[in-house]
Amino acid sequence: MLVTVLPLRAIMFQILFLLIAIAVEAFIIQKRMIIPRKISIEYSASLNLISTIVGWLIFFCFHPLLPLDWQKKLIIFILFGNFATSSGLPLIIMFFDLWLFSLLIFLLIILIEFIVLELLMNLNSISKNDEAIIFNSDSGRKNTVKRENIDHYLERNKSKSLLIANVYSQTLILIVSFLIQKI
Amino acid sequence: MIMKQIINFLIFIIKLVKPPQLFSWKTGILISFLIWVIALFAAGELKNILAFLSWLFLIIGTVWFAVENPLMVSGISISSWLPGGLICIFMFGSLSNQIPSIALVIWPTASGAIAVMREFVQPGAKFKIPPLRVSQKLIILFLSHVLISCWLQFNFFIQNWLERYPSLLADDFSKSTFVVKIEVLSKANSRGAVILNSMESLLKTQIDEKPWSEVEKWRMNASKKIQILGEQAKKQLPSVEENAIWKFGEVFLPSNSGYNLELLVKWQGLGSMSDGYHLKKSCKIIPVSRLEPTRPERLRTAFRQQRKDIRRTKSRFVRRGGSPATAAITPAELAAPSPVTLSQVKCGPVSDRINGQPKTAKP
Repeated sequence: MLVTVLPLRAIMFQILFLLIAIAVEAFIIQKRMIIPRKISIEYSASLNLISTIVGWLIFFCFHPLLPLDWQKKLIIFILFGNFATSSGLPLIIMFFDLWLFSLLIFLLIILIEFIVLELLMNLNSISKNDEAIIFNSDSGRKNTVKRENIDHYLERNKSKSLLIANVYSQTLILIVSFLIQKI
Repeated sequence: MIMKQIINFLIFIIKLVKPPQLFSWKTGILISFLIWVIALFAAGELKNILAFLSWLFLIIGTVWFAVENPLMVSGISISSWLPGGLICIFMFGSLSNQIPSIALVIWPTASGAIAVMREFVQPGAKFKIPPLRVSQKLIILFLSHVLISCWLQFNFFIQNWLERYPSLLADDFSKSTFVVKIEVLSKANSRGAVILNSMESLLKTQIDEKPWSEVEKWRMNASKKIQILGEQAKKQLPSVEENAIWKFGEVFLPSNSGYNLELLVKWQGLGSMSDGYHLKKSCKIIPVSRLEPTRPERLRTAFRQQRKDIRRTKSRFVRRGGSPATAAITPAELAAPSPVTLSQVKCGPVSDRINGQPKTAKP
């Protein structure tokens, strides 16, 4: 009657990984950049969403440009979860390739997130029509912080904390995905 | 009585349809409907223009509706999906009657854009920049809609591969971390099985119920014949990219009576098994000597023979020498039933997928 193959697992795992990344990165950004929790969650959510979407777009744009042999390897990996090693490539080289590939993805994600964070901050400084933001700080006091103050906080060791946040979240995702592969 | 009910009903309808003020979403849909009615009676180029206008007003009306009353479910406006879908059908679907995949892919993004747009519009159709806290949320809202679009596109990417290689559907997807296979009420078959079955029927037209000497002749270049059979069988299927992958082979072995023929179709690469797989169908080709005619038949033959003899003697009186035509009508085997060896082809069912490639046939 109906036989089809749907990428439901990919969607499920993507949601899971997004939640992991958003949670970890929000936590670290909040700690390192001293900004309210809600804002840090919003920032990390939009950063991760954008980097995921850009990743998809890159995949859709560059997939048809690959040589047919690679395309076939890719689709075998997507559909059946194994690598076609018919070319007799040693396993070490393949793992090295894989490692290089994930490093590339990691750097790409960080690059995208830097750019997006820069854009977001510019966007926020444009919409100046709200003078102040009321938020709960960690101690529970109600604070009123001027916009310039928030910008100042975010500017402070922005790149370093973003890098560290990404290292943590990506490592966690890598561990989880290895566990999933094993199961 | 009935009149009153009808009037009441009409009033109810008018109340339902009548826009509360001049500028409202109902006006847009009403105008769209009116133009559509006019377009029904129009012809030629005018009809297309009117249909276009009707679409435009319908979209304006629904977008307006979505902006005015967002049916919010946990912070996400549901009503924006309706104009989003309409816009996608309008943009991509009107070219042909079929809705292309791109329309479905764009749909969530368009809906997200409409849902976000709601925050940019103030009552009185004025543009406003949303406050910072809201705009941050809007970005997330829009991005999550775009992500759904990406997932849809990924789905179509997979479906495209399955269209090009439909036999992949018969494979085992349990190790994949990306996809799940959904089978409702039926199982996917490898197209190799279809190829084997049509190869069997083609084989039967060639060497079933034929004199045994023909089979012996066929056997001489069986492997070439099998290749031709396979290509013919492939041509009966709809041509897709995967057809090039199917290769054929055979194992031809003598048995104690006749031959054992194994038809093989080989699938190389592209699947859960790294060396591919093959399917086989074993056939038996056996010589069958035709049975001697049964007793009533023998009697009938004898009777016919006698009659012919009589006729021949008669004609001998009319014309000397007899006619060769009547003599030719009488087949030799009817006159003296000698056993004739015919071939018979019997084939079993198609095997399951066998991992790896088959060993080449021994000469």
